[in-house]
Amino acid sequence: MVQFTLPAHSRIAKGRDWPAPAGAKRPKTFSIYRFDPDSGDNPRMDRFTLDLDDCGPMVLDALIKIKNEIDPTLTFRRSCREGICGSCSMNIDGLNTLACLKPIEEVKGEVKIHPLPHLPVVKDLVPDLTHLYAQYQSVEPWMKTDTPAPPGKERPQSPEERERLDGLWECVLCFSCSASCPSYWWSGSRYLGPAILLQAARWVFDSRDEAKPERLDALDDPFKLFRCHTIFNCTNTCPKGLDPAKAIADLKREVFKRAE
Amino acid sequence: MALKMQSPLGRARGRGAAKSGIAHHWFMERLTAVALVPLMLWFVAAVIANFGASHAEISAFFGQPWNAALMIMTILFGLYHGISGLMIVLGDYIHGPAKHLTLALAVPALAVLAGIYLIVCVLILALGG
Ligand code: SF4
Ligand code: FES
Repeated sequence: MVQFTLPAHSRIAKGRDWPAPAGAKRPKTFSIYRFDPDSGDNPRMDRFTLDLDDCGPMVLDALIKIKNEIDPTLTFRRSCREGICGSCSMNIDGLNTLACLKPIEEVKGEVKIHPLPHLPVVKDLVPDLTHLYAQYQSVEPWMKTDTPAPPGKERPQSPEERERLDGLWECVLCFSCSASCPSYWWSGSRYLGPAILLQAARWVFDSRDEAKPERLDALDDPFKLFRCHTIFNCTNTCPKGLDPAKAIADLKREVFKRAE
Repeated sequence: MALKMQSPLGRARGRGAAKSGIAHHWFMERLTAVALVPLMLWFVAAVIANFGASHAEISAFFGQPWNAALMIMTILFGLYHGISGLMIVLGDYIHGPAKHLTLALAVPALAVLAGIYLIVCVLILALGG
């Protein structure tokens, strides 16, 4: 059954306040969700005030600065710091996005940072992605063929066939979209969610793949695919500017066409 | 709580796909939505035109075959569309097979009853009852 209130242990308390450094010319406050499973305490919001004149332009720069110079226990994922690895996804100023692509200047007032919503929290801004990765594996995101590739060559694909994959291959699996989707919040154990469905579409519409029948079979389900209610939070939030809602609509149509 | 040692992939795959023809329902939701646009316009116009009318006048209104036909279509499409929406809401919020199955059987059954009742009412009026 759906739950509308937070369990007692998830309620967020007020945390520590780290004041602006002396002589800060452009102070900016970052209010950051903290949770340490080992402490047994409830999550809390810590506030850190930095001087923007002494900080890189992106939210990730601020997080790194805080970790390096103020509180080394602050925990978050990051790797490429240029929007390509998908690890630094989190909820900034109410929108799921990549911290390394989000300019601090875009946020008016305090910068509120939470982990991706509605996922179990491992620590601070690190959510548990186990189920999402398992769902990704369940759509078998690799090329499946019976016809062998031409000897010594790649599988041919026309420019038009290749174009069909534009807007799909660029996904960095940050899961901003899935974690923004109310349908995924309510039914995530069975609904695959926008990120996984966009990946499923990436293989369903690849002209080189020969497993479309079994791929569509696996999606022909009221929960796995059709739990999407075209809410569009996914498309709205995707930090790579992709359109998972359209990928899902294309998949629904593709399943429908099999009967008509 | 029982210890859960099932692998993440096993849990993600679950029971697999139902292949229950959901795409057809998905299409019918859209088809009935489109059909209901003119039907609702007609219905609102009919309500306004017959506001405060006597039983005999209403009876005469439904005595026109087109009016009765449009009314029955509005009932059928409206109920189908409304019930499919409600079934989706049940799927979203009522988890647990027993509870969900009970409602998933009860709601359409009530809708069929309501539909037959309303259509019989229209026919009785149309036939001068
Ligand atoms: S579609 Fe966009 S938001 Fe979703 S996982 Fe891919 S890159 Fe992230
Ligand atoms: S650090 Fe790689 S996407 Fe942000």
